[in-house]
Amino acid sequence: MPARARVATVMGFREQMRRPLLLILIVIIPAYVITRSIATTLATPRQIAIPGGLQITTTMKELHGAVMAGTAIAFVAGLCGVFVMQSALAGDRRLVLAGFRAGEAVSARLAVLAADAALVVAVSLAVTALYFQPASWLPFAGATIMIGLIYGLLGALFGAVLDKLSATYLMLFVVMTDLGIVQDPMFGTGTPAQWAVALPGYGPVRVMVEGAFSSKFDAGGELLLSLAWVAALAIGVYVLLRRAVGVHSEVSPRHPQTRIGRA
Amino acid sequence: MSAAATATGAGADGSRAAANAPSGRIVLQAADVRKTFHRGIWPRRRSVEVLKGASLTIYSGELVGLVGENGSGKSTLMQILVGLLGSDAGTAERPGRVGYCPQQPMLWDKLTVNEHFELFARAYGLDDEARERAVSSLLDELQFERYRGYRVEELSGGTRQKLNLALALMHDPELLFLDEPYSGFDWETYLRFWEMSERRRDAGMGILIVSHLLAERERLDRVYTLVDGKTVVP
Amino acid sequence: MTMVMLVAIPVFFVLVFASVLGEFAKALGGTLAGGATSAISAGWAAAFLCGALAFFQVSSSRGADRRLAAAGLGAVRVAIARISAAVALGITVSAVAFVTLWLRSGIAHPAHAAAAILAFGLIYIGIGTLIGSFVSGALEGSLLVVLVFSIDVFSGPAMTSSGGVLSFGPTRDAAKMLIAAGSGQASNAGEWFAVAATVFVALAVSLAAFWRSAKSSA
Repeated sequence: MPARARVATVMGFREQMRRPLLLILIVIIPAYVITRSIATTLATPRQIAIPGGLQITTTMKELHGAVMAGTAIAFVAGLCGVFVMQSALAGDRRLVLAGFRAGEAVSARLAVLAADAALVVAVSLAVTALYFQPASWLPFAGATIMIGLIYGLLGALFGAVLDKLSATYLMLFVVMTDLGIVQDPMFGTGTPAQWAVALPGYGPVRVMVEGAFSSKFDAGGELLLSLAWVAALAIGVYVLLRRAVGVHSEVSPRHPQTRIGRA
Repeated sequence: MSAAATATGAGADGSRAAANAPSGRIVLQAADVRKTFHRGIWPRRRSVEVLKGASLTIYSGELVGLVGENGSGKSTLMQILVGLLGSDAGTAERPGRVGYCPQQPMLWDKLTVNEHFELFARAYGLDDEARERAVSSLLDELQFERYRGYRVEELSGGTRQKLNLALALMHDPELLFLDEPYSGFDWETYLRFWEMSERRRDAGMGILIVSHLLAERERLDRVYTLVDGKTVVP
Repeated sequence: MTMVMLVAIPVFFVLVFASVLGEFAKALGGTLAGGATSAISAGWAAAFLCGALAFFQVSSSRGADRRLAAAGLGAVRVAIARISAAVALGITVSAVAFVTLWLRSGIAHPAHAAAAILAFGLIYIGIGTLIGSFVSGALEGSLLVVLVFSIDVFSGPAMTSSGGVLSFGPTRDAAKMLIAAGSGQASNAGEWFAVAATVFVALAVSLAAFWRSAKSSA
């Protein structure tokens, strides 16, 4: 990693580590929400369809445990994304003016966001593991990571185009609709509607459900869809952030002569 | 203090009269810079044409003021020249290596003064030795050595502004942009700021400073005034 | 955009979220059903929107409020102005939620429902301003509002099998009134008083938080 990018990343992490309340909340929120969900949900039988067409019978308690991890991760990672973008727009532009490449500054910010998402994923998985054992940990854990990345990046996207309050509201709206209602196998028939495939939560939730209740893996399509969302959002956010922190000139600040042209 | 050399009979680009021609080379040449801001959404959409053809030239070894009423576009012009904002028309040529001290300190609250210097040293391409030399000198000049280990959130407004200024100077640029850099300074620091600027001007740096204090005009070699979106020379 | 959200989210909560809330409560062993689910979702919409709004209002205007107070207006008058603005927005949000509820499912006791929804909003104004007066980080503050909201939702009456006994959230009494109104029942004077008392405490906390924020630190 170039020295500049390394220093920017180190500073980004130092900034985060000096926000103890944030770190505490990133741990407490998923821990509380998941624990409370599992503790209060009844073990009512519930039949759901998992990828591959199989119908399985489980309980609402187990379903809630599986699904709530995703919702908590999406919320927290999403809000982290909103505010990572907001702080990038504020201070990083000056760094780019001084000689950082826009990509270096952006990469550092996205690394911090990924670390925040990783922390909330780790806590969520650890808490879930206390009460619920997925049939297959790999797809289950992988799905939670993808939810963290997708919603963290979505949050960054919202933070780039909206003010803080609107972005916070939109994050709530999207998470509750997508993960809380449309994709949630606790409600309705237990299988998401066909149009749900258009929403970002479809792929990772189906992979998560597969991992939670099946030792086989038939969610290859859903996995690819999830990865596509991650890739598309990562590229989109990277490009948007680069544009936001970049300088308006034809030559970089490190060259002998710089020409300022049209926007 | 060098004699203020306000151009006479000058055109809109403020080029100096022959008698007061600067001996330095041109470090900034801006021509016909235009900028319109669009705010709001229909039916409350408004367009405000802030710059309608601003032009200026800065030579090495001179201290040039950019003055004008509040809202005349001084900071906007400076942000365009620095590269923070894009212009709608016009061009400017300047060295790649400039220093910029914005009006609002663009700093990171959770990082220390030292960490800011470390980050910007990387940005400017300074090695550890050069960085330490520059930092020691600036901390001494601006007298905030004891705050080196403090986080920005722990600093007073005046000390933040000292850091803001120091970050613009640490790599000894050819051209320095200062947007009202002394807000929050006590009187002694304010005087010290002008001494620093004049020393650097005498050493060959070109400095463009946004100022709105009448009393400062005597310290400046030349002054551009922004009137109705255009630069004029008094 | 914020105003669009302030209207869209209560509408969404009442029209969409309410439809699954009954199933959600049933899964948790709660008794929430029928009209009560629409009613309580209106309350929660008002709560979250007002809580986040109040937090950002305090945290983003701290410096300006101090300056205004020091200029001669005084911390108390600045605080009253701020809380009036927050309450006005709270009324707007609550009104949208209430109207949506009324149009969707009709309410046997509209005055009770309207008062309870407004109570949700005002209580969360108190919570948001309290968080904002102590926490300056926007991300931390937003997450704290989310945490308080989550605790409140899970401990709401009729949400879980132990809800009626163990519910202790700040909106407990307002939720009971709202659930009753949604189920076609009126609330008695004692229940009105409990809600009014909670709202009074919330507004007092809010006023104190705005005052603290506007007070000069010198």
